[in-house]
Amino acid sequence: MLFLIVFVVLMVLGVPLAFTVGMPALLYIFNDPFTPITVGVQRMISITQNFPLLAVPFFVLAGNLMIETGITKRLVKFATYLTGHIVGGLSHVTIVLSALMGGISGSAVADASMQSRLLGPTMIEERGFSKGYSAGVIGLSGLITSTIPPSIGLIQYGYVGEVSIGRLFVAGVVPGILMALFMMVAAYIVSKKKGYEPVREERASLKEISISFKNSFLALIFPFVLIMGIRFGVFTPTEGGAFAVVYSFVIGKFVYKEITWKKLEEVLGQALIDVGVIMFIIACSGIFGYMITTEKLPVTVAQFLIGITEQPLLLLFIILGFLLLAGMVMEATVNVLLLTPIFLPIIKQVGIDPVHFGILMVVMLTMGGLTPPVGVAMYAVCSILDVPIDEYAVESLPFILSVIVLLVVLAIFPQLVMFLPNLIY
Amino acid sequence: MEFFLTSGVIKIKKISEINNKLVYFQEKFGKLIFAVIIVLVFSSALLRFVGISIAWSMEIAQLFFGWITFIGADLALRQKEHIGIEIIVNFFPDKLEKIIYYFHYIIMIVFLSFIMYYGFDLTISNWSRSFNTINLSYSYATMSVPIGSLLMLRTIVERLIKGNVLPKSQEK
Repeated sequence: MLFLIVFVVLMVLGVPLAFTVGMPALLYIFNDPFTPITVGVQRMISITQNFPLLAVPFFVLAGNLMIETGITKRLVKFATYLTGHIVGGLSHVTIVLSALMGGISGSAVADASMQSRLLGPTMIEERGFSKGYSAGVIGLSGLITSTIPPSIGLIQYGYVGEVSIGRLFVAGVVPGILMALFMMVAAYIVSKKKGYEPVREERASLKEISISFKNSFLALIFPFVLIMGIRFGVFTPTEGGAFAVVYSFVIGKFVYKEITWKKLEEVLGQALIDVGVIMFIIACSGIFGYMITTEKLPVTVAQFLIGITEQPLLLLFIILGFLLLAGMVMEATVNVLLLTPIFLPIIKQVGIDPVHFGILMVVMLTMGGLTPPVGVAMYAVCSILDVPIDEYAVESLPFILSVIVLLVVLAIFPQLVMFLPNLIY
Repeated sequence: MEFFLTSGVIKIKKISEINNKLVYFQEKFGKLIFAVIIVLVFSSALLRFVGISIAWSMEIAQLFFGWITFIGADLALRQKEHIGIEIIVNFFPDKLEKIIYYFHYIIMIVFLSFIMYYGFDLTISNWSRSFNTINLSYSYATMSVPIGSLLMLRTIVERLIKGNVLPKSQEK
């Protein structure tokens, strides 16, 4: 208990997350006469000796690579042809672009910050969208990218909860597409009210769309290759990550001929830093995880929750409500790593499929990165676009609500999530 | 007196020169092994597809995984990319806020010192344990933790000497 207080105090004082997580756990081990302190180090290193988690650096790099390889540019064009003529034009473009990018990139933060640089200035300065709205739609649509496979959050969930990453990936497809549709509806309603104009005068001709489709075909086909490759055992999710990196590099270098070796080195350097941030948090959570399991925290929480209700759906909503709050105050990676071992046993006990729960949990917690007061992706978008947090908070609300409505629908109708993985596996 | 001062300045200059070289090396080395991991994992999947198994490549990839994690962690620290939840601290008066940022560094120093000390301890005491297929001590992986911690401690000392403790969001 004392160690949880230390955790909260460090968090409130703004200590960098890895240390906020690592320090109380280290104190715990120090205080426990039965645990040698070297266990802390062992935990940190053993996490990096884990082959499934190696997918995280790969998909981080693949996401960073896309813009330099010219893939993004072609996808923007394609997305504009598809949705540019609808009321609120560019907001639909950013939503559809996120869905298209989602097939190679797996990170909400990467997608949101990339699109803020790419589309943000045009939206605000040329098309007259308000700053808060632009930041809201660009930020929240990043959630689509992280839901459509590959997904870094789902890899982390699968790793901690020992759930098949392949199945989780497939399960993310339908929710990701639905999320894009729900957000487009939200964007349409808001744009109609505020008078945000389409970006194209008229619908693109079939010929324009098909040419643009052909140009971005190699990028669009990738998620299918990935999912099928994993399903039929051609490669593991981790190897799929390495494949994603090589694939986008080869396209950028030999097909689109846009990326140079020098650019590749720059992207590697940036990805190395991003990996350092995420993986160091994960390594420190490893020590924290040791504390959670030795203290039997999952059992205590399970008993408490089962004491309230044993009705699965009600229990699911209680947990989702808690995850919404947890997401608001804590960063997503930390949440996934610490809360999965706590909630997963209860979920299994009441008979909910871990894959179904995984999608709900990871979407909810990743959205936490985009909701005030605390959110890494939100900070990224707001600082790039120079938007005050309170403005963002108000205008991102329609999109946050559309995600919550989607999650409620997905919780009530598990078939929507499970239909595809059950069909393929 | 003057002599000692100038020689002191020269020494600091030399140390920071060596340090710059070290950082340069870290970056190059980190990028290199990151690239090697990708090539290894990709080609082993490819080779398995045609029926050739190279199990050692997975272990090399895992060994390097530890190194990119902890070298990357230090490079991220140098760029002030390890962020915390600053929203509450931002409401405090500036002076108190600055004191809290110094406190962050104390926490980091304590944590990293312990991890470094016990990391080297584990590295040495477990030297005889080796990887499954490759004939290499597992300590080559374990070592990445204490060495990464040492690099981060170096970055922190550098920061404290320069008095450059504000997080990225507070700079400008």
